[in-house]
Amino acid sequence: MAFDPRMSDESDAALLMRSADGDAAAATELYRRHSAAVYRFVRVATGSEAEAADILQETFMSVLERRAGFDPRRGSCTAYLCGVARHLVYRRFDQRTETTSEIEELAETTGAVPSLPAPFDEAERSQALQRLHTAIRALPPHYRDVLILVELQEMSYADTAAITGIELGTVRSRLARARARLAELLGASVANTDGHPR
Amino acid sequence: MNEPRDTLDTWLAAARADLARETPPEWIESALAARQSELVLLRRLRPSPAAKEVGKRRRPRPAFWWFSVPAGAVALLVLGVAVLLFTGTPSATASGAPAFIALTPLETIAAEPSPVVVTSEVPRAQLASFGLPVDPARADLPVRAEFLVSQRGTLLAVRFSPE
Repeated sequence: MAFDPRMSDESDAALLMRSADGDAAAATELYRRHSAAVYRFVRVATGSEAEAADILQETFMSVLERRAGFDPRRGSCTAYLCGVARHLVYRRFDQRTETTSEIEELAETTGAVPSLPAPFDEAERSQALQRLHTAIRALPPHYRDVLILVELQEMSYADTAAITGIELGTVRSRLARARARLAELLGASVANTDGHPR
Repeated sequence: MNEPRDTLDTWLAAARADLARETPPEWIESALAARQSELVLLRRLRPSPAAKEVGKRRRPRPAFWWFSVPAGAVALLVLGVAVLLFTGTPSATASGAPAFIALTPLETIAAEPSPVVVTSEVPRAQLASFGLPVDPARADLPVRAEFLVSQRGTLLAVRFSPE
C-alpha cells in the first residue's frame, strides 16, 4: 500500500463498518488503501484494463454494502478484497478453465526458458512481457492465481491461502507447479514466435 | 541460455516492476462515492410501516437513480435554496420550477464544495414529512424528487416535481 497523507490510522474493519453505515469518507479511504492491489491482481488475471476496472468497481460496491464478511483473523483486508474479486473473475470467465487442454499441448512443445530481452531493447522487452502475461493467463486458474499473488503481488503465503481458500502447503506446491508450467509455456511461446527456442 | 530458475525469476521481476506502475482508473472512486450517496438516500427514504401498508395495495416501481454533476446546474440549485429561504415558502421559482426545500442550514449548503443532484421517485406519502400537502386519493403513487447531496452523503435540499 502506497503512503497517502490523506489516510488515517483507522483499522480496515472499522472503515468497513462505517462504510456499511453510509460513510462516504470511510469508503473512499478504504478504496485508496486497497484498490491498487485488487486492480493489479484482476488486471493480470483478466488481461484487460476494462474488465479489471469493472471487476474492481463491482468488488468495492458489493463489499461496501455489507456489514459482515471481513474477519481480520483470517487474513488482511487486501486478501479479503482480492478474494471477492477472484470470485467475480471466476463468475465472468468460467469458460476460461476449458483452455487447460490447450496448455497441455503447448507445454509439450519445449521446456526451455528463454532469456528476457535487455531493458534497453524496449520494444522487444515489451513484447516479451506480453508473452509472459499471455502464458500466465493460459495457466489453469488455480495455478495462475497463486502465481500472480505470490510472484507478482508479493503477497504472503498466508494471505494467498486466505484468498484462494487452500492450505499453506497447497500454496507452496501449486506455486512450484505454476512456475514449472509457466517456464514450459514461456519457452513454447517464444519458440512459436521465432521458430526456434532461444 | 541462462539457468532456467534464474531466467524465470528475471522475467517475473520485470513483470512485477511493470505491474507496480498500473493504477486503477480514477472514475471508479467517483462512482463509488456516488453509490455511497445513493445508499444513504435509500436508507433515509425507506418507507415507514404505514407507507408499507400503502405499498401492499400497489407495488411500487423500482427507484431509478441517475447522477449528474453539471457545475452550472448545482449553482442554480443552491440559488434556488437561497430563494426559498428568503421567501420562506416552498413555492415555485421565477422560472416556474419548484423551489428547493433546505434540509440543512444555508451556510452548510454554501460551504459544500461539490454537491451532487440525485433524482429519484419516492412514495408520495413522504411529502407530508416535508410539510407539503398529500392528496389521499393519490397517496400510493410515487412522486419525482431531486435531492441535493453533499460528497459525504448528507442531504442538503430537496424539491418535488409538479404534477
